[in-house]
Amino acid sequence: MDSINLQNLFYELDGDSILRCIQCGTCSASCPLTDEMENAPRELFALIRDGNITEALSSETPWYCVSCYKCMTRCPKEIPVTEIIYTLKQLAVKEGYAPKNHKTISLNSSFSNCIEKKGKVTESAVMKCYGLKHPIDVSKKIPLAFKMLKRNRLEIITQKTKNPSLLKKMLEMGDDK
Amino acid sequence: MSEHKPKIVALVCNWCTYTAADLAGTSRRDYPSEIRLVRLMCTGMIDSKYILKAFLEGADGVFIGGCHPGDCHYIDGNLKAVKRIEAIGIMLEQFGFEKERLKLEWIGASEGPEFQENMQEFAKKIGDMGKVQTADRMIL
Amino acid sequence: MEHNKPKIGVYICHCGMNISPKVNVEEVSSFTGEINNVTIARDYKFMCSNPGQELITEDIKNLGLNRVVVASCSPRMHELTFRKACENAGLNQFYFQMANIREHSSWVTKDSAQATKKAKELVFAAISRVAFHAPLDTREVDVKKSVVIIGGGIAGMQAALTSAEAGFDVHLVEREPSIGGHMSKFDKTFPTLDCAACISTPKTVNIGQHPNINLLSYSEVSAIEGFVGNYNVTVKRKARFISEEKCTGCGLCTEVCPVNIRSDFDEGLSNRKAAYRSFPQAVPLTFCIDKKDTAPCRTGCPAELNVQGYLQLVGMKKYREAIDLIMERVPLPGVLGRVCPHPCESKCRRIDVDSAVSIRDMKRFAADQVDFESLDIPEIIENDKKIAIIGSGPAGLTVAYDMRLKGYKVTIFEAMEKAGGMLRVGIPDYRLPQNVLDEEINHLLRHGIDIKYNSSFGKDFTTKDLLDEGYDSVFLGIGAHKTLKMRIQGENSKGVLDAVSFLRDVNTGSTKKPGEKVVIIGGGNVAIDAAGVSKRLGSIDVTILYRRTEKEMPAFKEEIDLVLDEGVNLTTLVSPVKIVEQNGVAVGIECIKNELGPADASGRRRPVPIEGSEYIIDCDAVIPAIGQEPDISWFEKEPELTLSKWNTIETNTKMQTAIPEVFAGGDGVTGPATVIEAIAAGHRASESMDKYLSGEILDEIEEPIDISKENNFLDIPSDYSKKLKSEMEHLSSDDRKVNFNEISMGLTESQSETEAERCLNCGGCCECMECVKACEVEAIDHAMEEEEIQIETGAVILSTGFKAFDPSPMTQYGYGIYPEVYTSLEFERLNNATGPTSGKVLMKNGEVPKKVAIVHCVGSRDDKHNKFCSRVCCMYSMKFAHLLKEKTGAEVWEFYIDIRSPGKLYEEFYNRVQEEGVHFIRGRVAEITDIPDNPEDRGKLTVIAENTLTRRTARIPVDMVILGVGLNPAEGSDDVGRMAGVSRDGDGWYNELHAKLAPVSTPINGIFLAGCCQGPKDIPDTVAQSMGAAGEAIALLSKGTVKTMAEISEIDPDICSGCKTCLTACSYSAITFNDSKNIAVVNEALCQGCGSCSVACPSSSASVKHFNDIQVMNEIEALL
Repeated sequence: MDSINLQNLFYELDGDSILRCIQCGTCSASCPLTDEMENAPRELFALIRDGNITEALSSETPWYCVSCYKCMTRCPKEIPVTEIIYTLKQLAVKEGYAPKNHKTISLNSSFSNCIEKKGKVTESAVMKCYGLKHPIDVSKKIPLAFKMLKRNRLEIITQKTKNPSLLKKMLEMGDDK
Repeated sequence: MSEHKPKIVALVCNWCTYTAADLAGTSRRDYPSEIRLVRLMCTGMIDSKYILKAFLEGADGVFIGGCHPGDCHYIDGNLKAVKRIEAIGIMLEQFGFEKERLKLEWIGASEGPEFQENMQEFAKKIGDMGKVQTADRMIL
Repeated sequence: MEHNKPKIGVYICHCGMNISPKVNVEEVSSFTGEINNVTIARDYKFMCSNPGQELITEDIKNLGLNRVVVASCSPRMHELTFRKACENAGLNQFYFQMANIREHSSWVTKDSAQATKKAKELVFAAISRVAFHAPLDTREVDVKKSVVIIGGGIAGMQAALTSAEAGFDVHLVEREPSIGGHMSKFDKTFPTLDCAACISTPKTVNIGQHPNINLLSYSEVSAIEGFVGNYNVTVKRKARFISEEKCTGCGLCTEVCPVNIRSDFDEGLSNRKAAYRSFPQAVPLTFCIDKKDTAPCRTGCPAELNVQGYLQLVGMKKYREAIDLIMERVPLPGVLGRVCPHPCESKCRRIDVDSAVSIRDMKRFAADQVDFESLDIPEIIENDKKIAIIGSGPAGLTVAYDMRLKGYKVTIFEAMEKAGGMLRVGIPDYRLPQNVLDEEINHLLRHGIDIKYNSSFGKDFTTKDLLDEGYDSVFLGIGAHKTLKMRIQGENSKGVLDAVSFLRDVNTGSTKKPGEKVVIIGGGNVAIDAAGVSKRLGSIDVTILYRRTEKEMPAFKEEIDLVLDEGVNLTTLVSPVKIVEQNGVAVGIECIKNELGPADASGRRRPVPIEGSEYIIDCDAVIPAIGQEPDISWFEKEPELTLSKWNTIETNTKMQTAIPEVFAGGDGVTGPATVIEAIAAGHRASESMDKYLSGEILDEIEEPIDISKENNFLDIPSDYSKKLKSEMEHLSSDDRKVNFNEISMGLTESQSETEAERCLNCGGCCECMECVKACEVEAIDHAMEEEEIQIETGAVILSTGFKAFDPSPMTQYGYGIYPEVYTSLEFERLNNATGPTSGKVLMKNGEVPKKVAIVHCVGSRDDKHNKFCSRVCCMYSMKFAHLLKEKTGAEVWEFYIDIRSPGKLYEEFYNRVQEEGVHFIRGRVAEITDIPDNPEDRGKLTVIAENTLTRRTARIPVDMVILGVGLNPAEGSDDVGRMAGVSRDGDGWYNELHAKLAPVSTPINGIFLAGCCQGPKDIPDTVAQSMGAAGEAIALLSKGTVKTMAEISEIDPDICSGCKTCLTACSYSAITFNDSKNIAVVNEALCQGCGSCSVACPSSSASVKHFNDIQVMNEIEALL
């Protein structure tokens, strides 16, 4: 999809609240991870309004959001910042702009895949899946895994739900295109 | 397209719509001549009698023009008009008139072009709807 | 409406080439000529020209025309022109109608034939309508050439001066004691940095002296009635308690006033006195006394003692004055300061902070500092009446003192050897030393009160004897000196001593111990006193038996604790059954254990004996102390007096007994109660007696005021540090067990200072009267009352101003949490020479700040608070930056979103401040924290914002933060708006008539707006606007009359059914209801002719003149 259509789609998904933004910077200054982010949240809005939505979607910034909601609580224009960040994340993944091989995204999809397939989350399974994409990161965590294992906090055997076909049906029903 | 020339009465408020009509005049914006304006002080002054009288006397359409809400010269006369005219519209329907023959529109004093547009649109619509068939309607 | 035959003249205008040739005017003219009632139809090139108008006027005169129609341009252009032409010819102008065949036909129709056809129809409609026109008149109403201005800030003041210069009478109403508004709080104003006081004082002084301006300061408007030119404004003038005419502004009252109150003028940064003046240049310069509702300690005292007053006097070390004040209501200060159960302390609002003020102990402290023998006795103006008082207890002494001061001859008859009643013989010396009693009673007697000892009522004389002897009135203060019997077996054995007799014996000198092992029955103060006395006399084992639990004991807790500390035993839940005796001598007491059952009438749980739990306590003395009643051995000799079932003397509510000259009060009437209640009863009785003896009708004595309703007390500041009440030192229990020395040692001087400071001054002014003593021109009148005045005026100007936004809800900015976060108004006070730091910019620790952050847009441009921009904050914030640089050389940061500098020299000011090196960071402050990024910044505040221009997060540690708070409508402006009928917009600012073309007028004719009340603005715009408002008011009223409109509503009184629908329909409140005739009536001066009423009227009795149904319907009919 081209920039204009993407922008329109974003606005339709209630992203049009950013049209009110006065670029005050409260969201950026409130964000506990602002110094880590590539762009400030405020910058993302400026980029989108300027027609540069693809740059915003490709940015790493939204993936640092920890949903603390400080930005949204303080925004003087009542822009639902955190929810817009979520929208950007979803749009980025859907339209393929999300940064390739980003750890947060990989972990997220490993997690949800596990749920979709098995109906239950097993940490070892999630990490196995995640580790395929980020082996170095996982290997750094192996000492932690052993510690957890010693204290009986790590399931090795993958858990699954009793009725996987029912789960599949439910997921299909909930899947609105 | 009907050849019938509809008879349309426009009841307009002095401060906004009448002024807009004057402005349309000075800008030479033409509209169908079957529309005749009646100058009133406020849409809030428009009694249901006037609308019924118009229809009884053979009007095919009645247009009501007033100030935008919040701008009424008499504070809220136009707001009083809204409810009344809605009710009249419902009543007209019960007597067999199409509700669309009665139209309420807000036209501000500086809106000459909008006035022309509204007049043209309304005239066309009433023209398409044709003459009021009083024979088939209940006697008012 | 006239129905005489219309003779219509019709004139079709060519309008040069504008109407003709598109519209065939000749055709229209001849068509018109054929219409009924048309006398003449002409067409002419330019009807609006002189010759054109002459055609009309000539035809009217020559042809006797009574209606005129002109078909030309828009009535909005020339209706007035042609109406005037008609008038000139002697025809009422409303007999005229215009048809618009230019803007509505020739100019908007392409086809000529269609245009002509439409023109014919429009003219025909006009002709049909005009036949039904009626002659209308406009009326002229007289108006008052005066203005009432509500609000005395710069807006109100300027409007006042302008109106006064025009020769109008101006009434300027201001609710604060002085005019000046917010501007008088500022130091310098932007952009020229004029000193605010320097530019506003000439105006305030002018107002104070202007002959046309009536300055009503410390006043509020409570009602606005009437209509344009004829308003009636009700103004409530609050009581200043200081006369404006007499006060010279010397300030002696404020020096002596002991009450400190947080200063509103200084934004809470400093204190002022209850007698105060807001600032030195106040106009008027009269001081003002801030009084709230009577403090709860005063209303909580049964004798209505001015507690707050004497606490403050003690704090000022004015002990004599304190005692004088106390003695006005409590003639025995030292006594009450030792034994009173202090109901005042339970009402003390200091409890809401930490604990009550030690009020009783302060009273004792004051009494201890004063030598009663050296107190002056006032001059007494004697009258010729004699009063006899029976009993020299607190009730009797109070009546004696009151009546003596009033000039009566007073004689007290006391049955015992010494005066004081229960004070003397009931309360042990270790609680109330004899010398205290002696000193204070002697002081009372020194006023010329006679006392006869060993004179017993009933035994030595009767009331009849006294009245026969020539006494005009008698007061019975006989107390309750008889112990109630336990009514158990063995009560009369030797060793059983009733408590009252026991205590009396000891107090009169006996040192005989009651026994080795003493048992005391009862839980009241008498029982406790008996226990303490027994211990001191040497009894080894003293036990108190009480039938309920300790919680239910009626004795004062402090007394119980003290006596238990001395080694007295307390056994609860046990009742006496009988005295065990041997040969008539008590050797023990049989008791039974109790448990608590359901509550009885007094609300306390009834003790229920446990069957089979009897046991015997060995003892050699039993002291019953289960209650007292009056000794009524005199009753046989007084057949006319009546007794209640508790053997107390009956009185009516006016303290009178069955014998009209004989009054009674105290324990003798109520049964055993407290000293302060006896004193209160004494006051009530003396009031009644005085009235009775003056021949006046006695009033019913009212119940004391219920203070549980909403009260207007001084607010308790939220930052008061907790400080528990000062506790007196007591003798150690070892020291006191063996003697009768006074146990409590009284407060120290520094404790007395602390307690006076802890007092919250709930009532504002404490009525200590020190100001009255200090004032050399007798300008102070504490009895001054609120006044209500009515002002008849022609116009009202609202200039109620603004209030600053309170940033407390924005907790991320730390206002109210961190001491060095200030609002802009607080910072103005720091800068102002009359402020808390005399104009020096200092932090609360006294240091000069080195780094300051100024935060823009606090509460403004914020959907959560005020959506709008407050307009002045950018400019004043930059002003602060400049002043900081100038005064302190500090490093200054301005955190902004946009810089708004739209006025003359404003942008240049911004540049100047930039060039002074002030840091401008474009980013809205997200939070202010006291957690530093670096350890060396500990103690500083860190301001966090994104520098959006450099895309970096700014974290700046500073010493002081100034919040640029926005503007909100002033407190109470909504009430004023409602009074005036002026509506407010969503943010509370008053609605102007038209935002661009009529910003100082309102839809209400005769009410104008000036200043921030219409919307936030700076001083130049405010002054301009208020000159405008004054100008509009002057223009309206200058001619002395106002024309009413002609095209207004009228209601046919014959048809009106009195349904009142029209009253609610009218947006101008222009319709009133005549109750006697039961019809609605239109106020012709207020009606604007909108027609809402005529449409709403179900009986069609309401119609708009010149737009009535017949006229409109005919027009419509003719068009179709």
